[in-house]
Amino acid sequence: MKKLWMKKLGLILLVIVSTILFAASATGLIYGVYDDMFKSNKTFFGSLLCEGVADTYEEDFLDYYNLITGYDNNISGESAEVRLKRYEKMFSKENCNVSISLMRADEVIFSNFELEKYSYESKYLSYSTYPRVTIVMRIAPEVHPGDMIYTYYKLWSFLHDYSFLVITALVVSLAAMIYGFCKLCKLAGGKGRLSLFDRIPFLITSGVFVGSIGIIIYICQVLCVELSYRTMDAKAPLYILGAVILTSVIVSALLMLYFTSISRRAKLKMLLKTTLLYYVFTFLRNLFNLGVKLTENVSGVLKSIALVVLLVLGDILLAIASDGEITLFVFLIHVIFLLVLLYFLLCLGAIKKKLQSFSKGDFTKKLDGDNMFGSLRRCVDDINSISDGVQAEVVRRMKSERMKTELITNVSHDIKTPLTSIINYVDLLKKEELENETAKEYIEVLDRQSQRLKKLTDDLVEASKAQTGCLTLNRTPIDISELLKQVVGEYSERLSEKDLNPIVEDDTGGVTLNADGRLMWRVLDNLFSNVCKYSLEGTRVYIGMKKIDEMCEISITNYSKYPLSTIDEDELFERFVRGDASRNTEGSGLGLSIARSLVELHEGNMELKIDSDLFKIKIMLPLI
Amino acid sequence: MATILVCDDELDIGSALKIYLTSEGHDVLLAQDGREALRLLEENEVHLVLLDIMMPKMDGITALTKLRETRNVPVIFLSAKSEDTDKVLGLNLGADDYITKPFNPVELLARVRSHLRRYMSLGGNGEKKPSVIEIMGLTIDKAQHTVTVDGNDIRLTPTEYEILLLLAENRGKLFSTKEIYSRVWNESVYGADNTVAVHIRHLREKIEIDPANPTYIKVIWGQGYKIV
Repeated sequence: MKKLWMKKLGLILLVIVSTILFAASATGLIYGVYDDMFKSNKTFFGSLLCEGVADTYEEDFLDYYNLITGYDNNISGESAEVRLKRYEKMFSKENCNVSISLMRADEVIFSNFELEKYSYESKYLSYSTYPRVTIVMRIAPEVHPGDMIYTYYKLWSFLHDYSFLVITALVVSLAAMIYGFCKLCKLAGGKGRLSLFDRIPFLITSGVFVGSIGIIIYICQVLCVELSYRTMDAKAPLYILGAVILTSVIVSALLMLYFTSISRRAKLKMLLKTTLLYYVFTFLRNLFNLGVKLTENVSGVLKSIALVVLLVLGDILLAIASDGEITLFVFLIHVIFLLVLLYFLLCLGAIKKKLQSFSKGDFTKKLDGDNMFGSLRRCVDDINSISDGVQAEVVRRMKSERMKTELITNVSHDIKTPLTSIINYVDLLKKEELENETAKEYIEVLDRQSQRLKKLTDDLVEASKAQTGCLTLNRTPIDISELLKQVVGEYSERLSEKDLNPIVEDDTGGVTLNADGRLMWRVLDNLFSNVCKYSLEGTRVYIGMKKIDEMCEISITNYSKYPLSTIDEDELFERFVRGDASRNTEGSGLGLSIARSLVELHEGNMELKIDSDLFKIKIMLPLI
Repeated sequence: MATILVCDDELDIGSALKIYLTSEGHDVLLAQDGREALRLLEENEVHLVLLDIMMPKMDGITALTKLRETRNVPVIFLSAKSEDTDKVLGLNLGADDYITKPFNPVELLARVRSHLRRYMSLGGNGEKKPSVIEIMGLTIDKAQHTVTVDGNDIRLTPTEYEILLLLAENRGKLFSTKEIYSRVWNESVYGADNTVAVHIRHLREKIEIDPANPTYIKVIWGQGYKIV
C-alpha cells in the first residue's frame, strides 16, 4: 500500500518536472523560430530581441534627459533627485551596454557615453519629445554584465549555441511526460465504482480541461510579455521562468487528473457510458420507459386524460366566476390530485405485470405491496395468497405424481411374482404331451396373453417413471447418425420379415447430441417396433435426420396398414390408445407415450402427423 | 450332474424351477427363506444357488452376504425388482448374475448352464494356449478359427469372426461402426448403410444368451460397440 503511494508520488513529481522542462524548452524553441535564431550567420545584435530590449531604454533615458534639462514630468511619482541618481547609475558606462545619444540636426545634444566600435545601431525620431530629437542607440561587440542587454545576450547565445541540447531536452521531457502519464493511468483505479468526478460527461470534462489549459497558457503568455517589458532590470528572465513553471505545474496537474479519469473509465468499461451522448440517451430512454409504464394501462390513461380535461374546464369556469382570485389554490389542489392519480396508475401497472407473469405460470416471485395503501394493498395481498395457494398445489401435485409412480412400481412387483408362476407352468404345460388339440390351442392363448401381461407391467412402470420425470439422465455425447445406423441395423431383420425397406437420409453432416444413449434407444426402439407392427408390407420407411438451427430433427415416415384418418393425432399419444381399435395385435399401447415422455425429458419434443395413410413422427432434440 | 439350491418364498415358483432343473439332470434343494438356505448349504455340497431377494425371515441380500463369507459358489439372483439400481446392488454384493421375474425358462437354464460350467471347470484344465482368447466363458481360438461359448461351438461367418476378434483383442475399447468397417473390410469408404450394425446384431444372436441384454458385446448407443 505504502509502496504504491510512494510510486504514485514519484510519478507525479516526474510528470511535473518534465512538464516544466518541456514548457521551458518549448518556449525557448518557439521564440528562437520566431526570431530567426537558427540561421548560422545570425547574431544577437541582428535579432529582434536585441532591438526590443534596446527600445525599452528610451523612455527612461528621455526622462533622464528631461531631468538634466530641468524639466520634471513626474512620470512615476518618485522625486526628481532619487530618479536622477538612479538614472545616473543605470546609464553609466559600467552598468549599461547601450550608448544612447540624442541628436538634433547631426549635433549630439546629450549622451551617456560614446562608442567608436559598435555591432548594433538604431536611429529613429522620438515621438515622445518636442521638438523631435533623433535617438541613436549603439551596442559594443563586447557586452559586459550589469544590464538587461547582457542577460538577454547570454540567454540568446545559449539558445543559439546549444539549440541541439534544447531540442533534446524537449524530446526527453516529452517522453518522460508520456511515460509518467501512462504509468499513472495504469495505476489509477480499475476497481470499484466511478467517483463523482469520473461521472461528469466525457465531452464536458474534455471541454473544460482544454479550455482551462488554453486560458492558463494565454495568461502565462500575457504575463511573460508584461513582465519582460515592464521590468527593466536583469531579473526579467527569472520572472518569465517563474511564470512558465507555475503554468506547467497547474497544466500538468490538470492533465494528470484528466488522463487518470479517462483511464479509470476505460478500465471499468465506462468510457462510452460516461459520454454526454450516452447520458442524453439514457435520459431519453428512462423518459420513454416511464411513458410506456403509463400507457400500459391505456384505459386508465384515457380516464385520467378525461379527468384532466374536466379539471381544466372547471378551473376556467371558476376563474371566470371569481375573477381569477382563487385559481392558484384550486390549481395546487388539482396538481396534488393528479399526482395521486399517477401513483395509482403506476401501482396498477405493477399489479398488471405480476398478473401477466402468473398467467405464464411463474408463481415464484411475490408482489411487493410495501408502498401501496388501502384497497390496492388488499388487492396485492389477495394476489399473493392466490399465488401461495397455487404454488402449494403444484408441490402437492408433484408429490402425488411421485407417489403414484411408487404405487405402480410396487404393484407391478406384486403382479410379477404370480405372473412368473403362470408363465412357468404354461411353459411346462406346453411340454406335456397332450392328446387334446383344443387344449393345446388354449395353452397357446395362455402363453401369448401371459407374455403380453409381462410386457404390459414393464411398460406401465416405465411409462409412469418417464412421465413424472423420476428417471435420472446419464448424458453422454451421442453421434445421431451412428445411433440411427445402429438402430436400423438392430431392426434390419424384423423390417425385412415384413418386407419393409428402410431409407435413411442423413442431412446433418454429423451432429452430436448430449443425451442418455440407453433412453434414446428406448425411444427409437418403441418407434421402430411400431413401424414393424403397423406398416403396410412391402412399403418403404423413410428415416430422416436434419439440423435446424440449434435443434436436431429425426423423422420417421411409414405407410399404415390400417386406415388412420379416423384417429385424432393427439389421441395417439394418450396411454393405451392404438391405431387399431380392436386391440388384437401385440403391444401395450404405451410405446408412443413413453417415447414422447423420454424425448421431453431431454428438453426435446415429439410431433405426430397423419396424412391419410402416411404416418410421420418428428422428434426435435436440442444440440449441446 | 450338479446340486442346485433354489431359494424362493413362493413355493410354486420353486417347484417349477425344480421341474426344469431336474429335467436337465440336476439335483435340486428347495428352501423358502434365507435361513433355511444357509442351513441347507451347510448340510450339502451345493454347486449353484438361485436366490430370491424379497423373502420372509432373512432376505436374499443378507443371505448372500453371509454365504459369501465362506463360500465361492455361483449365486444367481432371481427378483421382481427390475430397477438398474437393484441389479447393480446385487452384483456388487457378490452375485454372479441377476435375472428378473418373470423370467424366460430357456434363458434361465442357459445361464445356469453357463455358470455351472465355469464353476466346475475352474482349476480343472488351467492350461491356456497363447492363441486362445477367453472372456467369461467365450473362447476364441485364433489358430483354428473357432469360437465357443460355455463349451458350445458357435458357427460364425468370416466377417462376424473378424468383428468379434477385433473387439475381443481390444477389450474395453470403444469402436464406432466406421472404425469397425475400415478395420474389418479394409475399406475406408463408408456410406450411410448399416452393414456393421446388422452383422453385430447377428453376432449377438449367436453368442449371447439374451441378445437384448448382451453380456459380451455391449452396444453404446450413438457411439459404437465394445467388449467389456
